[in-house]
Amino acid sequence: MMNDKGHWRITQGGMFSTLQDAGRFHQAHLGLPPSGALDRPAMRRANRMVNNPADAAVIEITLTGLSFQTTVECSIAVSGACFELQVNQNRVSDQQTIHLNPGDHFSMGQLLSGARAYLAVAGGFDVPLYFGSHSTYSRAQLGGFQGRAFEKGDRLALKRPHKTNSQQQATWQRPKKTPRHIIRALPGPEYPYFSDQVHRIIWSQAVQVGTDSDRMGLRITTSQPLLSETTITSAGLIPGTLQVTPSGAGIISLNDGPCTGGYPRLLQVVPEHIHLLAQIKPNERIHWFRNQA
Amino acid sequence: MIQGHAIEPPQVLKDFGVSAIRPYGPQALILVFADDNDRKLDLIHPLASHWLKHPIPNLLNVVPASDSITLIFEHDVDLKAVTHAAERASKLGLEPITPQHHEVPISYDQAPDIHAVCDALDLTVAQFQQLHSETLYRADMLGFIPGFAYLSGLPATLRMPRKATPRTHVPPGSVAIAEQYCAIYPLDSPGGWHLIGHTELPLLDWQREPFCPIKPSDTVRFIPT
Repeated sequence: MMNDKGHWRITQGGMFSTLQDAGRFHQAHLGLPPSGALDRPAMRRANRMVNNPADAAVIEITLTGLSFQTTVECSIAVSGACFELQVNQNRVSDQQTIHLNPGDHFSMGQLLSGARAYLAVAGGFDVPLYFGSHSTYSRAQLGGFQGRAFEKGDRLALKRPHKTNSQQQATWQRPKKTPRHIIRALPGPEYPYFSDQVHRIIWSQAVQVGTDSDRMGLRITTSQPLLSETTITSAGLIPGTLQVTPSGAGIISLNDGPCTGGYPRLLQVVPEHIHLLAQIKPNERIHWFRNQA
Repeated sequence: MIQGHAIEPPQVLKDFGVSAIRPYGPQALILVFADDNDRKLDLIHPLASHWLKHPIPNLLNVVPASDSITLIFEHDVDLKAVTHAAERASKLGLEPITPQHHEVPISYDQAPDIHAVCDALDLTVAQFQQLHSETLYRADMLGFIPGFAYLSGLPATLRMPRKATPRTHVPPGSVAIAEQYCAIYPLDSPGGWHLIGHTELPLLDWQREPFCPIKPSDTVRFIPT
C-alpha cells in the first residue's frame, strides 16, 4: 500500500471489537444514532496514557480480547475492562503505557473484570471520517474499519505511529468484579403513567441483563413484568433510557440504539453513570438507585 | 427541572405551538405539541429545521417527531438558552420548509405479505395497489434505523396492527405498513411491519449529505412499475 506508515495485522478479532470515538452528532433527525464509545471515560483514559487527544478513536473490545502483530514501533494503552495482556507471550501490566517494536505480537487473554476494554495507540488509527466521526455503526456498515468489527487477517493502518516518551502509570480503578451493579437513574418522561406497583418493583428489585444485549441496548427482565397501560406516539430516544415493551420487559437504549422509540420511557440513567452500563455482562444484575434531583 | 413533571413553556415557545415542556433526564427535553393542533407538523418541522441550521449552544441532536421535538444537549439543559434560541427564531422568522417530493417506484406482486394483508383487509391486490399508490404520504419523522421515514397518510382502509412475531430479517428496499404508517426499510433489519412492496430506489449513500433521499416533512408517492 502507498504511504504505509505502519499497520497492525489482526490475529484475533475477538467477539466484537470496533473503532469508536466520542460519537457522531447532528444526524439523529435522519435516524442516524450517535454511536461512539460506550465507556467514554475509559476511552479518554486510554488516550491520555499515550498523549492522544482525549476523543481520538480507540478500539472498543467486548468480552473477548483482540490480538495483533505490529509492523512498526508504537505505544499503546488499554483501559476499561481488565484483561490479561501479553507481548510476545510475556505478561505485561495493563496499568501502564505499553511500548511495542516492529514484529511484536500483542495479545489479550482472559477477561478479569468488566465487559469492554478500550485500546488506544499513540498517533491514532488511519481511517476515514463519516459525518465528523470515526465511530463504527455496524448495523449500517458505516464508519470505523470498513463499517464492521475486526476479523482475523484485517490490516489496520496507523496514522502517526510513534513511541511516546512517557512512562505513564494508570491512576484509575478497574471495574469491580461483581455481578451486581448499582446504577443511578431518574424518572423517565412517562414514569408518572406507570402504576405504583411498577414504581415499587423498579426501585426495589434487581433487574437481570439478557444475553441478547448489544451496543443498541441492554435487554432486561424483572421477576414481575413491568406492565403499563400507557401508549405513546413515537418520539426522540437517547442513550440510557429504560423503555418498557408491551410484554413488560425492558430495553435500556445505548449508543447504537434507534433515534426514536414508541415504548413508554420508565427511567433515565443519569449522565455520570451511563458509562457504567458498558461494563455490565449478560446475566448480571442492575439495582436502580433513585437519584435525588 | 423536576423529572417526570411537565413545565409550562415560555410564551415565545407557546407562540410556536409548544403546549408543554417535558424534562428527559438532565441533558434532553421534549417540546410537546398539543394533540388538537392540526397545524402541528407545519410548526414542528420548520422549528426543528431552524435549530439544525442555527444550533443552540451545546446542542447535539434535534429529533422532530409527529407531535414533539426532542432537543439533546452535551451538558445539562439550560432552559434560558432554549428560550433565547426560540426568541431568536421568532425574531428571524422561520423559513417555510419546501418539502421535496419523491416518486418511489414500487412493485407489489412479489412482496412476502401482500396476499395475507389483502386477505385480512378483504381487498384484491389490484384494489390494494390502487389505494396505496394514489395516496400522497408525508414523512412525519425518521428513526428506528437511518433513513427510515414514518410516512403518514395511509388510508384507514389499509391499516393493520404490527405483526405478532417480527421477522429477524427484512431485506433493504422493502415497503411496509403498520398502523397509520407506511415505510421503506433502507437496511437489512429485523422488523414487525407487513411487507407489501419492494422498491429499487437507492436509500442510503454515506458519501452524500444528506445520506438518505427522504427527509422529515418530505412527501412521497409510490408509482407502480
